[in-house]
Amino acid sequence: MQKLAPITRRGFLYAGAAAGGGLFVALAWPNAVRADDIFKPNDFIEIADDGAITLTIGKSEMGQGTLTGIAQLLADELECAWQDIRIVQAPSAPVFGFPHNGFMVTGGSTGLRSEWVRMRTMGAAARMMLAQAAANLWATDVAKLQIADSVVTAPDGRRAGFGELAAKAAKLSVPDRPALKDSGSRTFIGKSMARMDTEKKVTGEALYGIDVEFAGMLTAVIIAPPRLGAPVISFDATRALARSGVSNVVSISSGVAIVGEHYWAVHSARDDVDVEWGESPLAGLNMTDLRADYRQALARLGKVAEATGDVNEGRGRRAVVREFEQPYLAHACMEPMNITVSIEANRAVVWGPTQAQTFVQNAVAKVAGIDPKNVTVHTTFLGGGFGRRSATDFATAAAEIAKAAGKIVKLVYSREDDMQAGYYRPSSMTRAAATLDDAGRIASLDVKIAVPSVSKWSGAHFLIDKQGLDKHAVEGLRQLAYDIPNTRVEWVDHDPKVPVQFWRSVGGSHNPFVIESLIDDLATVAGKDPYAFRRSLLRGHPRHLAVLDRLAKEADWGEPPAAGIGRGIALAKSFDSIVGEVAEVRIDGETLRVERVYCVVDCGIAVNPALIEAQMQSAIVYGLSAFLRGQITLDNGAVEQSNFHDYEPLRMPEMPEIKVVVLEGGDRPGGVGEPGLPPILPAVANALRALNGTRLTRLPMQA
Amino acid sequence: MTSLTINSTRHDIEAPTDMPLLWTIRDIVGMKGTKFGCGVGLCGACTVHLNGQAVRSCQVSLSYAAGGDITTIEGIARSDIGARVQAAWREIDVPQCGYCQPGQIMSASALLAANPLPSSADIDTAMAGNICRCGTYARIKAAIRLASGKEG
Repeated sequence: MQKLAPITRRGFLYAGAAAGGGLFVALAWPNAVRADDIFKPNDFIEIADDGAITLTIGKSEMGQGTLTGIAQLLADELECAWQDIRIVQAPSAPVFGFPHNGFMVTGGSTGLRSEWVRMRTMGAAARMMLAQAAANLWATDVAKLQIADSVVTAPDGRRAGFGELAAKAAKLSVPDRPALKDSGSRTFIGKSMARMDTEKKVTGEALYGIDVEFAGMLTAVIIAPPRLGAPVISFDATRALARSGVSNVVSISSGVAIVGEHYWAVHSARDDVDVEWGESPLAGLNMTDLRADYRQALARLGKVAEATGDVNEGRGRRAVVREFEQPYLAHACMEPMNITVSIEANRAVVWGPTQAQTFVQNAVAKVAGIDPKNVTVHTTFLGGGFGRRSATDFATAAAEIAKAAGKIVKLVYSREDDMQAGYYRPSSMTRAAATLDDAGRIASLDVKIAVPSVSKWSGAHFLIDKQGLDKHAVEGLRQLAYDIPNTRVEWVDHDPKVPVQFWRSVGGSHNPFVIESLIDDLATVAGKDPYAFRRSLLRGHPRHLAVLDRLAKEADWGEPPAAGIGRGIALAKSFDSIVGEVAEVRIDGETLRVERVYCVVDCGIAVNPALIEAQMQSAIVYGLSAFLRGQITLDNGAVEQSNFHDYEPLRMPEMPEIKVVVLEGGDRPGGVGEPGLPPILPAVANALRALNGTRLTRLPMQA
Repeated sequence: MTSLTINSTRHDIEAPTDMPLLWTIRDIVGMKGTKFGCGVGLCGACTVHLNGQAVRSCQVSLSYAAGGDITTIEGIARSDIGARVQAAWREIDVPQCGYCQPGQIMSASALLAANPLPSSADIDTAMAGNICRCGTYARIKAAIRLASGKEG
């Protein structure tokens, strides 16, 4: 039977005999479990009698390497052999969600941060139980045993593998508050372990949502309204239904779905459905109006997100005032949006690529008219996520189609559907004014941003504070490390009603661009070097300073750049990590070429340096794509971009050389998937300014 | 009925002749390693080899491919070059989300078959049609160099 440790600060630690023999260990926080979730064997870790260790993980793998990193946290305390670990993607259940609320969501660069205590505690508990089992077997003192590579060794040389000990360990009581290792004795944390998912991804065996297939399953596409949000008035599907492979055509809340045998059959039938559309709520919306509306919004009173000192009384005599405009951006994951849903009487099952299993449960339950508890979500690999897959629009649509068709349905978006159906990084307009005192120090910073609330749109209302402030709207604008005596940050919740969603680094994708561009201009006005100027503003922030100093050293900042090269620097903290970047650019005819990027990251404890380097490179490429030419525009309420010819991510020939240095300045892991992005936009903008004096305030560059 | 040889196995296929090879492979033959990315030949995720040439399978109709000899990611390890490319991909730990990687590996294998010692510019040119939204380009290039025996 399962043994239950007392409730501690670390939650319920429980362990016992696994269903197939061996030991299981689980840890759940009181807020993240319901009575019917707890005491299911095989939660989290199972050690079988053949020594196989099965680790069940509630985070989605979208390329960030979270499965590998989380396994390292466990292995570091368990002291198992790396090759003994098998990873299973958790089914949707609060026990696998965030410790504090049970939500299964992968986002906000929280993967390792939210598993940091849980995985290590379970690893330590399992190790202690296995060691105690060996001590009992050999009638020896547990403190004298050595544990490494899934083997317990006694001083006299007797050895037993975890597999042999698992069933015996399962009968022992669960240790209360297992002590965790100190930083000096780590075995897996800090090592560049190879990714657990590489083999499947190299052979083509990795299963993504789009690869899900069951006997009798149907595939659907949606004919989306030509203008965002327009309702279906009526449709005639006579010709489509006459086509081979088409079985149903149904109206759903987001358009008209064609359901049939396979993708090509239903995709080819699009032109054979005549749809009469109603008026789009965005009819008439174009970029000129959008800009005018944002400018008007900036004239309205917003919510004050920060006010220190007095930005009026404390003004210096020299000022820099700028207005920044940033566009909507598509996520453009390589795997087009898709999901598979089956609805039965009082139950639904979902298979697919989601970053938000809990929200998908809720969305599908609402359509099916059942309790979210009766919706099970099975997570596949995600062919990119970047925030797009934390929305639930596609799950709602697939559930509506499955309900109407009465079959298991896989909904697949074409690339055009994917790009035009909404859920973008919000566009924004920001007015920023800063002043310098006579000594050349920043006296005041006054920033006002008009941007829609991404937290509201995503249904993540818990991210909005009691004053109604969406922290993502102003992250990167307030609580800056720079020493500025008078600051004011104001947010106008301006919503043009274009659907928006989290996009890699969220507010970090637009706010540090404003601040770090402005800081550079202030350095120019003060007649100071941009690195030295930032340095002078960071007293009392040793981690920022260490990043900045290392960055200057790596980029050889003390020496002038080569002829024809412009060099820019930027620094931003996001998701508990500090990243500084230097970009070197040159102009090649009409084209801005980013030749080289230096990146220094302090993400606290660096669990897997190679994966951190990969994520920094990845975020830099993602940010450069946005900077150079990323924009979603609307004309009369319709999205103008449709595929990779007019929304073109960076390609290999444009790839800069990127050097990444990983520093460890904290005592726990910081975020990694997103923090590399915020500094790249201002670093390149500042490099351009250094090269030819152009201050870019409207993105993308090739607008 | 159209016949195709995929990874040395003959398949007799009952499907509309205008169906793209991509969807034939994925939904009729049932091999899911070849990926759908854009449907218009812009991203390279669907790259396979048709009679030894790298092609975007979303742009090749079944009738065009009829009688052809096709290699997909599932069969690439059978060629010496393909096996070396995959080994290099493992060694360098290239993939992140991994979705574009079958196409990248097929393009890289075709490059090395035609040009065993590609320069950096050759690699850029040959791989420009394969988008990786995770930005793994530096490791893809390193892996191609490793597979070519020209490391670093």
